Amino acid sequence: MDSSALFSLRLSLQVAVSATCLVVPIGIFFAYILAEKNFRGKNLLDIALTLPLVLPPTVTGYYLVILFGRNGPIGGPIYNLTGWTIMFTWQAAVLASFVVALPLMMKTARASFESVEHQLIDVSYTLGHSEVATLFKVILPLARKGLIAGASLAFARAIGEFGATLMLAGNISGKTDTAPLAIYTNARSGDWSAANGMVLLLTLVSGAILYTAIKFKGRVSL
Amino acid sequence: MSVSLRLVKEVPGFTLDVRWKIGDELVTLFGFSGSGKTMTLQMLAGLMRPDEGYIHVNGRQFFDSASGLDVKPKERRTGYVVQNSALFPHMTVKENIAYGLTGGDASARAARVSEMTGIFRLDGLEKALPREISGGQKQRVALARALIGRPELLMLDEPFSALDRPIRARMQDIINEIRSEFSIPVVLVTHDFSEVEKLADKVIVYWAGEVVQEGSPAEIQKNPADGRVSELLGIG
Repeated sequence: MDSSALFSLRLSLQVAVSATCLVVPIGIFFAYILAEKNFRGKNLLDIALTLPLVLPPTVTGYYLVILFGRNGPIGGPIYNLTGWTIMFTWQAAVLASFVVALPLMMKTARASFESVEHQLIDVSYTLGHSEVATLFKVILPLARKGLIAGASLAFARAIGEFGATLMLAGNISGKTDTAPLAIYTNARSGDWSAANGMVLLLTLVSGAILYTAIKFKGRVSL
Repeated sequence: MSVSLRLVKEVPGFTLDVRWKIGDELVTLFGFSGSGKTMTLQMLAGLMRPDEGYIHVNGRQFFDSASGLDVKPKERRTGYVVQNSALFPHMTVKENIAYGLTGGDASARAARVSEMTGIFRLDGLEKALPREISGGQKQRVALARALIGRPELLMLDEPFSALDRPIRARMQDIINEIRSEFSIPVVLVTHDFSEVEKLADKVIVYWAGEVVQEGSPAEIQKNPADGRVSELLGIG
């Protein structure tokens, strides 16, 4: 495997690990809110966070460009304050992976939270424990298998992210060309031998992750 | 020590409207399933909000619809034991009991946990998980967990109905024993009158969300207020 392929694999790993580190706490937070709370706009929030699961990744990427571009409602103020834009950086690949992987973590975690017997949560409250303490001592430990499965699926989705990453981070050789983007470039230029190693490695990693998810959750349903 | 309450709650197809007062005694809420007994306990514990009414426990206000006061369950510190024990499956017997204690230093906590395992005859089972112990042992752990924090009120929701008859009799003895150890009001929900006779100082008879009679078990049996109470006693 040549140095550019190694760079792409290392970048993919870096992006997927970073995205998963963000997806896990934020996915748990939203899963908990959606499983335990009733509020106005709950379904709307659920739909908004789940949409990236069903939207074409290029559409998700398009929205991210609109929001985080130099003139966007989020990217604009950041650029004006710091002179920095996330566009075409490796952090943009993290953002794209985060957005498309979040619903996988959120859905799996929510199902796990909802499967925790509510009586146990009630008993914890009557024994003098706060909602936060109950979350950490009762709900999270009992939902841990689902959480591990959710994090595994999110990691697998993040490491394979292509469309939204292409829109937001571009495909800059040696800078933002993650393994899926590099495979695309190699295949387009007919350099199959350069693509083969990465294809094999991504297949093995994804297979191993899916195995982990199934082992912890019994099955994978999305 | 006393509990007084007035609770009104409307849910689809059912209205609870009860008012009663008890002292430092063991009171059973007696009635058919669906008559509002468990709902009453949930409101006492703060797990369900009444539409209207008040709850006073030992001079403390837990709930008052007029002023909008609604004390959170964790601040009410009521002991609540349910039919299926509701032990935390990922914690050992010792950890389950210790979970009922919040605050305090480690050595005082450990001493209190070991005191409770002694009272409830759970010595030797400290490291067992709930799935490894019997139904009667589970209920003893649930009782120890509910009482370790010295609650001001103990609520038992059909705690023995899933147990075999001999074990149930032994559990009833334990309840009588712990009443001398912890002198607090106990509210026991049941639909088994033999349990009422064995344990209760007072019976509050529930029928379709209302209280239809109050009195000692002997009084209720001798003078049922009406045909509904007779039906409940199986003598109608």
